[in-house]
Amino acid sequence: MPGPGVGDVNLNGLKVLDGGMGTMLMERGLPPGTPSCLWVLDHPDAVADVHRGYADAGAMALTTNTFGANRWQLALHGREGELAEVNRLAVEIARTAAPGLPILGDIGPSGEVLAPTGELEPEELAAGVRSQAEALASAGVDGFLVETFSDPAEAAATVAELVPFRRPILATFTFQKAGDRLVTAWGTEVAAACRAVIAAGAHAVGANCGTDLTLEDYSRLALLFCGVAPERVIVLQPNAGPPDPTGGHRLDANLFAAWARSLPEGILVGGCCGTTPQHIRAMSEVRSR
Amino acid sequence: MTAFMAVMTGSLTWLGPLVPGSNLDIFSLFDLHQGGIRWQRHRRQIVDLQPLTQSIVGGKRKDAKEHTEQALAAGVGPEAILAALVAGMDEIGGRFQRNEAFVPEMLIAARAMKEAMSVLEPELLKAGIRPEFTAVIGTVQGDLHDIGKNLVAMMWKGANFNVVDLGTNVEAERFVAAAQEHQADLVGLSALLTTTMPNMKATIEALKAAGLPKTKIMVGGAPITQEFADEIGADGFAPDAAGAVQVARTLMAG
Repeated sequence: MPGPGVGDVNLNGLKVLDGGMGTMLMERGLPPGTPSCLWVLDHPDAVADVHRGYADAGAMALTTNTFGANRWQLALHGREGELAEVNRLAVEIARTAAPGLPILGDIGPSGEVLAPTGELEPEELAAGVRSQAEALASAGVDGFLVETFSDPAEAAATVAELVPFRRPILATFTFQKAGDRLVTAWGTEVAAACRAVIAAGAHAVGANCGTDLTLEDYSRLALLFCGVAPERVIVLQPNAGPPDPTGGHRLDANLFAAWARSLPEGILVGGCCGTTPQHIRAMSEVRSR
Repeated sequence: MTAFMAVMTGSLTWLGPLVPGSNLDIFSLFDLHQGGIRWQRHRRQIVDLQPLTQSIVGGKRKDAKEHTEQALAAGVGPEAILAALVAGMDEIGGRFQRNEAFVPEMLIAARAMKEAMSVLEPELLKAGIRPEFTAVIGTVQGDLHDIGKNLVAMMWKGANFNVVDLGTNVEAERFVAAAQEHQADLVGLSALLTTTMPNMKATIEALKAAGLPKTKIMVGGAPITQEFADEIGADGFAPDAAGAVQVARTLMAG
């Protein structure tokens, strides 16, 4: 495989991704607890509207609204029968909202715990990932964003199932503070997390949606990732801080812009929960030129 | 740490050090009086519960169950066995708080505890050992995550609370009804999704409107902060399952 450029997407050409989807849909009336991916069926206009907002703000790729559109999460809501349809429609909505922009198929964790710690057998996980990936790939995604993982084994197994589709794979983990270390909820440090997904076939690696992290913590994560995988594109998609009781978030677009300005070239930035097209626009203005 | 020991003397169960905080346990006493005391004469059995505690710490569920069965068969009181299990959960909880253990270690420890409790619970009931406080716990409406909630439920059970687990996606009315029905001393609300945090606030409002003067409310979950807990009127917040036990004990004492 010739470097991180696979198919039509050259990851090195990307500078800014999009921001949060679920929190944007909440602003548009998504009821608490409704998986946001189901809105591709119920309110496709709202989903398209969010995509257009990010495209207009300067996002160079869009992420499908399919974070929880896997068999385990859909089954919790009795909607697993609609897996193929949800994923297909999600790609179509993103594609139609911004023709010409690369579309990344979003794949989140199963929500189960892999055996032997938990009860999810590796074969079950592989089959589940495959079912979502097939739906996304046949609808024409240009790459995959495997995000918000804590267990490096699950992340690696997920990435491995995507390799046969021959598209760029971006894989990100969720970190938290453990004393002065940064680890996932599984206690995994950057080096181990990074190596696990690269060995499995990821083209880009990074961090998203950390717990109680500052933007400076993401910069530190980026350095650690660069140390382990200097040849890879590093992806950072921070959230806008914990939500306050009024539904607002603490880290505004100005802070994101200042942070993005401080980052070395070659780091791909975007946002997660609580970020908006304003955050993406602010980062795009300092990163894309 | 002093070895966790239960010494059986007929109806008497003796647990832990002779002098709190000292290393003077039953074995040092035995050493002191070696030859002086004929232990065997009373057919006392000394059962080392340390392996049981360690099976919880290491999350070895088969061992946890076997050690529990063996201890019961040897006549160790169920309360002493429970204490050994709780010591294991306390130890892994402490490691978790010190960032020496993480979610997988907590999960397998809780699973081992659950396995041991399946054997022990009927014996505790037979012995008339009943929890002093009742706690109702659940994940708020719209949220289907249960890892953290299950850990807290297990830790509270270990701390000798009667735990009524309402599961996930629990409406405010069900929390209120359960709190009334079980005369809950404590209600624990969990949320992982930022999108369901507003339901935590709504549930607290419903519990307060129902007028349950003795019921304390605790909240927790990855996105929850002390600040948020204060703003929505919770009585307590803990950042993790081990902390949830400490806070619950403090609330009950107050």
